[in-house]
Amino acid sequence: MSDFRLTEDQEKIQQKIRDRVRRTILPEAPLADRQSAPGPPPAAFLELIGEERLGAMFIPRASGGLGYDYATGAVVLEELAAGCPGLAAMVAATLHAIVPVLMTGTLEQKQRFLPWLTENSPGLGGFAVTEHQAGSDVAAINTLARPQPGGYLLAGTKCSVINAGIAGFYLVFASLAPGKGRAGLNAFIVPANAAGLTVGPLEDKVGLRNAPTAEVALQEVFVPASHLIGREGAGYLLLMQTLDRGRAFSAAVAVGTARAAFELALAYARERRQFGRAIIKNQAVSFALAEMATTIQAARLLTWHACRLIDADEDYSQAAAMAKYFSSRAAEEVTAWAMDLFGRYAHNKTYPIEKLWRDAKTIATVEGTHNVQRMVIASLL
Amino acid sequence: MGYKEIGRKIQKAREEAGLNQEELAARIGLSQATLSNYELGKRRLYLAQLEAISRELSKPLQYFLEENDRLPDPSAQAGHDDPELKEIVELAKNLTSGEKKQVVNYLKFLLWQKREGK
Repeated sequence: MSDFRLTEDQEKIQQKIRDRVRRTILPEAPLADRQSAPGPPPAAFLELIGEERLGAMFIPRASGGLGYDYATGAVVLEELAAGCPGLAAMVAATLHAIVPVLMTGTLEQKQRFLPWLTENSPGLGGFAVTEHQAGSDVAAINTLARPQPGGYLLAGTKCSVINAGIAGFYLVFASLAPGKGRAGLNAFIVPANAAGLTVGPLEDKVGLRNAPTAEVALQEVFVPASHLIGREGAGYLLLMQTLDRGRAFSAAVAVGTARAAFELALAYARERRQFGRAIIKNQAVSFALAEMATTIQAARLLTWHACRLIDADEDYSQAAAMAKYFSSRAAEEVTAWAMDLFGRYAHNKTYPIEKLWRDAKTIATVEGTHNVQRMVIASLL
Repeated sequence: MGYKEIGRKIQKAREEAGLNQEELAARIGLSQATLSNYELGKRRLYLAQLEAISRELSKPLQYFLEENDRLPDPSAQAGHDDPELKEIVELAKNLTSGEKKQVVNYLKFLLWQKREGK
């Protein structure tokens, strides 16, 4: 039986991030989100990520990182998302980009690439997988890697890359054998300043608007052979393992989003008076809040369960997909319930609730839609 | 999701090597139940596990990963092997649906001529 109580250290980390998020992120996030054109994230986001070294949370202490396990990572990501889901998405994208190096990188690769996150501020990475014709079907990736003396030339265009333009490096998935699907996939670390790498205009997204997202084009970008992660042909397995782990921390982002909406709804229900009493005194409202609180707790426990399986090196693929599926649905439901509760104020952009509702819709597509999660879960029944 | 096909290939390679599940599982430090789930595609295996299986069964990693069920993407393939085919595909992208049908009919006509020796 798993014990879901936080350790003393985890509680301290949780409180530290919660305090800082409330002080520096909550005032900034809605303002940045409301800009008519997408722009860079607020400086407070980058300061928090850099000063708390969040991109290095899974890097062992011996290598200069924070040495957190996934369970602690989930606690941190929930707190970040409770302040701004876009901020949490920026950190999650960085974790996606470095996880394959941590799992299978050589000692030399770790010595070379990990300092990009442990020594730089803010220390961000980008996870460059998706293409216009290769979303969930990752084996259809068309970005090419051609062997050259001493390395590879990469050519192709990645889309929906979170942290595009502010990441110090990208983890790029490309094919050495076009037409061979998963057998041709490979993972490469590409520095953001590599010749031939360009970033497109920021996407004007519905949700997670505070996480800068754009295309990354690779025009004959040379990377040395030492930038291939794993071995030739190992990209598919590395990608699946990264996505399976990533679903657990995407689930934590969804939990934090739902919690933020719930906390706003609870405060509003206590404060808003109609017919001579606070609306929380109405059973219809208090029952809705009870539903929200229960849904969030269930999502959180599924998320922590998946993280603990990862930390224990047990089979976690299905648990992580269940956590992502349930939590992102919970975020959609809870934010929609909160919208109902806020009534006409929900449709006024000066109230932060509609932002969370939009963020939840976008979180549902990150790391695979609901249907992709169902496919993973069903395939493992 | 691909894991069932990978699992079938593990089973095939194991049987070709004359090993039962218990024997292979013992050699790579797994339980027989875990290996059985890998073969059935009911548990995802990752690089470290497939490398161990690949070493033990003397098969390259690619043997397990190659796809037999993926249809080739003509537009992806055309650019690599046949520049003229690529040009046809690229030009056709700008045509209307009706114009594309005319091109298809002309291609069928050319193939008919070839078949009939005209």
